[in-house]
Amino acid sequence: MSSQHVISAKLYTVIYILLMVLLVVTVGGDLMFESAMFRTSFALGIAVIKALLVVLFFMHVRYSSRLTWVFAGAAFVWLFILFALTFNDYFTRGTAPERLFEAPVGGIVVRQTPVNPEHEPSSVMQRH
Amino acid sequence: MTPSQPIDPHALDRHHVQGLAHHFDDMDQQHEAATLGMWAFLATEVLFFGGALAGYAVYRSRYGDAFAAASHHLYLWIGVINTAVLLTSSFMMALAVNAAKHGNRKKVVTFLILTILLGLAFLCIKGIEYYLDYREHLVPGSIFEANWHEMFPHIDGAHPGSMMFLRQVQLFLMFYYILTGIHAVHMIVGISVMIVLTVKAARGRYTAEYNSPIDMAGLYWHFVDVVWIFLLPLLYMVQH
Amino acid sequence: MTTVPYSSSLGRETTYLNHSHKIRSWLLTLDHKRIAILYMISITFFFMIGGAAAVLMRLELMTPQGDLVKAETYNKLFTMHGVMMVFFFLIPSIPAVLGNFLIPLMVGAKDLAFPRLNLASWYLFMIGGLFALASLVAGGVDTGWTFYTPYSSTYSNSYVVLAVVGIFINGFSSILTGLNFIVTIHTMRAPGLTWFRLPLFCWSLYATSLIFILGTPVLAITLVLVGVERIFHIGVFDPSLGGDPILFQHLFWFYSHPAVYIMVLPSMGVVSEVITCFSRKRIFGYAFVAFSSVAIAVLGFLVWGHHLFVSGQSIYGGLIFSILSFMVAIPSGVKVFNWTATLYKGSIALQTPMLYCLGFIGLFTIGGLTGLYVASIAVDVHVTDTYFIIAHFHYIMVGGAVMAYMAGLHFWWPKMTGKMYSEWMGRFSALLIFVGFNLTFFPQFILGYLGMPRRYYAYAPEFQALNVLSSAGASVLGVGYLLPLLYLLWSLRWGKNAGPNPFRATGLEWKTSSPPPTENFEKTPIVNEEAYAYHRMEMTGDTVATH
Ligand code: HEM
Ligand SMILES: [Cu+2]
Repeated sequence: MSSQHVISAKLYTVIYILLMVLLVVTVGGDLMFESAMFRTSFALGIAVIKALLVVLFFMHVRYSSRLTWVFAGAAFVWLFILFALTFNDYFTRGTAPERLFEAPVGGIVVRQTPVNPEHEPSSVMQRH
Repeated sequence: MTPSQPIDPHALDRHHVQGLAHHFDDMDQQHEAATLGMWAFLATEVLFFGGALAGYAVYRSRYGDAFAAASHHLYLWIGVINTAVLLTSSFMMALAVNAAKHGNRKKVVTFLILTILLGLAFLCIKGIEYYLDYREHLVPGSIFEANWHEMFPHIDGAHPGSMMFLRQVQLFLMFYYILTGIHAVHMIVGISVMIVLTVKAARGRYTAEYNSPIDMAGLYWHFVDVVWIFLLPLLYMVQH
Repeated sequence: MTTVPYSSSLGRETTYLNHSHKIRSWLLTLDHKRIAILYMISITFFFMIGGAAAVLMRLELMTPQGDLVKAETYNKLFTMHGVMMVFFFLIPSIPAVLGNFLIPLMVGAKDLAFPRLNLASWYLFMIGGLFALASLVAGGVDTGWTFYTPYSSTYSNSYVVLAVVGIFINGFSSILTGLNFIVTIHTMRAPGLTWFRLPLFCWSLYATSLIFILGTPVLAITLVLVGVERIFHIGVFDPSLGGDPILFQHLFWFYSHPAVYIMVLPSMGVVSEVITCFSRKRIFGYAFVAFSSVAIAVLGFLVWGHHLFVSGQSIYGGLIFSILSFMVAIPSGVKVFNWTATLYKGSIALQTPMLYCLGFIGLFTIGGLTGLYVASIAVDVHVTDTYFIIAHFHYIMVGGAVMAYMAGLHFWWPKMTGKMYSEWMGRFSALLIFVGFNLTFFPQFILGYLGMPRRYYAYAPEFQALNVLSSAGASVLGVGYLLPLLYLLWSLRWGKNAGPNPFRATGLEWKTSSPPPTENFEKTPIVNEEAYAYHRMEMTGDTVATH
């Protein structure tokens, strides 16, 4: 059919091999690296690459119309909105202006730790 | 669709085009509609999983220790094997779509069956894994509460901080079961759809011109694969 | 479905309504017009259930003491009222009834892109509705339509799971409807019908559909999480595990604030159609009105935290959400200005649909402006959870969205049924609804400002006078809603024939017969002019006969 691009079985095979190699690499990285932070970013980074390979080739977005790009992209923009504005709350919990009255030292806010974290369930979320 | 010169749709004799629904002008329009519809649906799916992942991210940013400790009790190697199974299944699906575009009925059926079998293999392995988790008492709630010292022998249960830790471990396990659970439900839906498609394909309902359903099922199946690609590091490889 | 000859041997035209009368031909129909009628009947039914709950609440609130119903019953009443009105009436109202009927007609197509999904979506809607009704019959739900955790997940002794399952299923119905509209508008426009020639109703439903597909799934997963927590007695919002109930509120309002735009965007679409027709003018600033719909849909996703100002959300979070909330007012304001400018120097005819639309503009403006009050954190701390909030959102959802639904129903009723209703009855009940509405809800602004909290069955005696006023208004409003039910049904049998275009309106839906044939058009129409070419129509003299 004219409007549809047909991806060859050969290209699919290449992508598949790449995906399997990346899977081995993730596991290798997980076992090899020391820093926890680095291992997390590494594993997630590879997941993003793998996902891109699947989306671009297996789901042939690379050869699809602009509209397909827009809809595929919109999903992630909205996901970003959900994460960004939710974390805008969580990352600023307990740093509210009312704390400024407590004990400002040289412009740095010293925070009090709740006395008994067991006591008030919601205060649990306010500690870092 | 805004062609510069008006076309008369009645010029087309659509009664002889296999698979063309009455309200579409031609195959291209029908295929375009199906593709767009599928992508809009996948956008929905992204946000469906996204809601749960947002919750996961909030708690992980708070309770990194407990999440990492809990994650280390999962079977990483089973997760990895299952990823390989699912990637292979996706590959088979891609080949089925390729065969469909070439109108090769026999290959379509073969690859679809392989896709289904690998999907079923994934679910079986997942089931076994759930069973192993259960045997290890990795089940939030009373089972975990009664047996946690087997998993965390170095923890002093009397200390309030460690009680919090143990509860946060269960929070992670909740996400583990919910995320893998809804993923499994998606697999079951996909497999059911593909069984229908396989039967139809075997009966010769799809041609090189008309194969949108296979294409669309492929998009869905690859999407389920993408979700799992993220679940692997998020559930099995948590570090702190 | 089999194709039918355009004219039957009796000489009567074969329409989508009369080509078959078998019940099967309705329940298995793939025709978007018949599915729209199915939706219309179903949402009217749910509206009456929600309305009955409202009547009981207003009766209870006639006196300060709790005397008519028990406190728990009152809680169940406002929950059922909210669930029915929001999820089973207002969200599907204009999209699933008018949108379903009109979008294919307006774009010049034979049907929506996926007729079978369309039917499936009605069945999902009904199954969801049955679950919600089951929760009512079983004994009710007392959490409020917002299902806040941990009350809903842990403490409530009512049928939360049934209701939540109902809303979950209903969500998929919304998603499928939205998906169908998006694809239809993208791929099935008639030759010559460019994006900027589309009726604004299509633009606004396109924007609504974006919210359907991008917001609803988040509600769905949130309800799954609540259900899991309730069934297994352990879950992710549970504070004893370190979970955060406020997370539920984030996820819930990520959908539910945009959902208020699901209710009001389609209304704005209706208003754009009606205002132009009854002022015989093209719309002022087409592109602004079109793009403001999309802007509202997008910006609407950035403001949900204004429902969490007093919840324990961080204050910085609240500040950001407050500022963003003020931004949504801009595109809404653009629309109001454009409608007013359209009216300016138009030859205005105050027929029933137009009366409803003028009501919409005024009441929506009040609702939107009080939205800005409550979006300012300091004011909200004072009025949150009081009757001020109730008044605010009823001005928008009843004064705005329901008015617009009535406007649309009266505008397209002749198209859908081929019959005219009594114009005098129409005008009379539009007026009745406007008066009854203000009598009901304006006192609630004052009550809330004075401090009367919402969701209580008893109140301090000094609030009684205003509450009696409100209940009196509610009875006027009730009559106002009953009348159209009667005279519209009456018109089906005794109404005059409407002819294809009784209001001399532009738009493809008026170019086919009323009621339209199953295939909508005898022949795919070709479009060669902008929407709302009323100036041209006035100059050349309309050819289509009126009644
Ligand atoms: C356009 C249509 C609108 C509708 C249908 C609508 C509807 C609602 C509803 C249903 C609630 C109450 C929710 C509940 O707690 O049960 C509400 C509250 C609220 N609305 Fe609106 N609203 C609209 C517009 C706006 C606008 C334009 C703003 C601000 C720019 C706004 C700001 C607020 C705020 C801040 C609250 C929360 C107040 C509180 O709970 O203390 N709304 N609205
Ligand atoms: Cu809101």
